[in-house]
Amino acid sequence: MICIKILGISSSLRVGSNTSILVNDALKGASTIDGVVTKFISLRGKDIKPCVVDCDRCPVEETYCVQKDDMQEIYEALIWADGMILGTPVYSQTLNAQMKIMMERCKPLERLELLRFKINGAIAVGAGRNQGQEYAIHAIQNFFISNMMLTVGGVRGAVGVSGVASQENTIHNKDIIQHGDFGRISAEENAFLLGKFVATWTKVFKEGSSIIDPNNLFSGNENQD
Amino acid sequence: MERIRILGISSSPRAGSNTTILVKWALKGAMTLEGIETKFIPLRKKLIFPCVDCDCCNVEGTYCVQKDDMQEIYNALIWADGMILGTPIYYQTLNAQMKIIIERCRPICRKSGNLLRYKVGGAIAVGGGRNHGQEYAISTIHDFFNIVGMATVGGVRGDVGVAGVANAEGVIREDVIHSEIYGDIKSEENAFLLGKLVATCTKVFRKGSLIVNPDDLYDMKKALSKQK
Repeated sequence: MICIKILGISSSLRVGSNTSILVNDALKGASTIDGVVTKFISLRGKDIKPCVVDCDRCPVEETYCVQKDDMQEIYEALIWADGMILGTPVYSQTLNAQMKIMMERCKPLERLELLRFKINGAIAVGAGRNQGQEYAIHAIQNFFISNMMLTVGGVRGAVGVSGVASQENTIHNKDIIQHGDFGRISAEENAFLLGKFVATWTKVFKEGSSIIDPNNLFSGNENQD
Repeated sequence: MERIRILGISSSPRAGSNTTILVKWALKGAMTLEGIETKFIPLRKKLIFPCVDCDCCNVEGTYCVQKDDMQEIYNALIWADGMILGTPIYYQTLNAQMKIIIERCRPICRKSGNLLRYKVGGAIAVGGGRNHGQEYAISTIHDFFNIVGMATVGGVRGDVGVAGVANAEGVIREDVIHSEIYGDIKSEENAFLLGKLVATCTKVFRKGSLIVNPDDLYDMKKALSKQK
């Protein structure tokens, strides 16, 4: 039996944040698939410093980055995972700095090609309908794709899951729209389905990888001749 | 052994277009793997009307009520296991021909019978210069893949897709940049590698789905009932 490891990361800094709620809903959805184990990491209270691009010393042995902070825990979780769901609150029409710092610090893993062929989904939660959830989702998905991961989405016609938060720290009630094809849509249901979708893709891809290794088939350094 | 089918579509209306060259390079890359079958469709001289949102999708036989060259594209998209869509850049994003194809896909990707789900896609964009909006075009094509339930791949040498720069003579010969990590990067090489990557992921995914049927795992109707 193949064990499928799904990681959820929320970059919200608030206690009981809406983003964490949605990421946890996605992990619940992933857990409905047989053989899935999940892990949730919140960036709240984590000390993660920005990448100092000029140092260019990565990857460093053992710690990957020369800066020794809470990022080491994230590196290990990212390498551990077969699939991941990243959730961010929307600040100034795009993802927040904590999520961006985490992505930028992934350079050592990119150079070691440790993130290749993982399956991913993105979640963004803003305070209103047009606060830039799509830009945040794009930024997360582009991070995945440029690291040669596979991006999935498409739950009820959306690229990722966009939530609308309410002040009471609950996504309930306020974030329901009536959709022509799908009826009543709530962000929690979408997150649940996204998690399930990511887990499904991961499972199928991992089954396939056990027969043919994608790293053997594809190497970016190969000459075209 | 079942062959893995990779489709390449170029939406350039020009003869001998740069986009077509790159999409063909991608298909060449895909062909380097065993058991791959490819098909190339240029949208040049195809008569395809825009979607009119009549909401009569799923017409039997033709999918759409408009009977035009889109029928060929529908069949090709359903036939393919993986696809590479290439577009020239017009006004900082993808051109109308490609957007029409994307919008006309509604009948084959609605909730009642999504025929595009579980395929793999990669994107190529070619502009007249370096900052002409290749990223926006690639993002839009990626969104299409994600929305219809496909997996999106990319990341050849750190790029999201393949961004080419055209020149007037119809050859991408001036499009070489030097990277500290990868040396001289040509967009033909990137396209070749993208094709190989799409074929690789498609192959792995097809192998996996022989053991696990994705439709058994992800059933929209059952999905939400399990929540309670």
